[in-house]
Amino acid sequence: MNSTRSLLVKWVLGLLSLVLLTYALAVTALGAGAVPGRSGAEQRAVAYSQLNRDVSRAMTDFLSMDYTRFDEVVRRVRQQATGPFAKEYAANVGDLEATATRSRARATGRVRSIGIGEVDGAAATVYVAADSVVANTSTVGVKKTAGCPYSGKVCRQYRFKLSMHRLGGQWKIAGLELVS
Amino acid sequence: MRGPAVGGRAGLRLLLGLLAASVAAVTFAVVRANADGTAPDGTLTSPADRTSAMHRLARVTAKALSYRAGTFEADIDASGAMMTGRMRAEYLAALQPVKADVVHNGITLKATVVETSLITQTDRTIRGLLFVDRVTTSTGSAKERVDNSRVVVTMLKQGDRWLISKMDAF
Repeated sequence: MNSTRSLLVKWVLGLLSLVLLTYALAVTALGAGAVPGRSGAEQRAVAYSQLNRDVSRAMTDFLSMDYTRFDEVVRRVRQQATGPFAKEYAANVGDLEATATRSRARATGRVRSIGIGEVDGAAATVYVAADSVVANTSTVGVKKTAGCPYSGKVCRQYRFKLSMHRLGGQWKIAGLELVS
Repeated sequence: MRGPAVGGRAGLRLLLGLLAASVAAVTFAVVRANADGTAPDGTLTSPADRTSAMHRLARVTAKALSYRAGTFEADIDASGAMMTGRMRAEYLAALQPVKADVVHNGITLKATVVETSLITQTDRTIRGLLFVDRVTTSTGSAKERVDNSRVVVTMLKQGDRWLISKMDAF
């Protein structure tokens, strides 16, 4: 009986060792991908991806305008703003509405490229190359060109530096400046 | 009866030792894998790798987008040496036609990278978004022209060298 139990224990120990050694070899060969859960590198890569997605959406909304749906435009931007940028934007909404309504402004924003600078936990510095096509009362007679193939509109190009903060799983704009 | 009993205990001790070594091997492998800055998709995420890549992008971009009338040939040759064959051919094809104008008018183009950021980075590829200011001066004019551009630069690792494989200014 003792002999049978001893043999069983040895089999279990041997099998367990074999499984563990195989797993160690797999982790060595495949890296963090073979480890359950997310490694630090994987978490950072996922954060970069979320950052790209959130910045693209926030900047497209920020650069877009439709004076007939002004409240909706502002609501979308404010949902994606925090900190100093949120305060600054809120403080300027009145002037923005007056200008947009008076000039019957419409604009379509387009993010051309996003690059990530420093990332420190829930804070990141991001650079954005973006364009917008703007139509308002002062662009009515504008003729299309090779550089801006839209009659009655003007094309603008921007270089932005953003401070992004992650809050509740979403990256929001905390600071925005034009790099001129 | 005594022989087999001692052998059994020795075998058990051996197996326990093997199990302990296996646990240590797994622990070491997992800790090392988690400390590695490479994500499963190949993205390099360590601050040191990212900083190094951004410095490399800024250095080669500023050089590739600058030249002086007096050293035009040497400048574009040096820049071409930092590029893959295909990129070098495109670069030289774009710049050789302006050589006469550059030399005749004493044109200097100086590019300064004002901001650098990364779009993607693996151990074989770097792609970055750079904000570049280019100042053009000429001997015939006191005025300088400033062009603020956005440039996406891709670099590939060939052997032990990083080379520019694509450059889009827009």
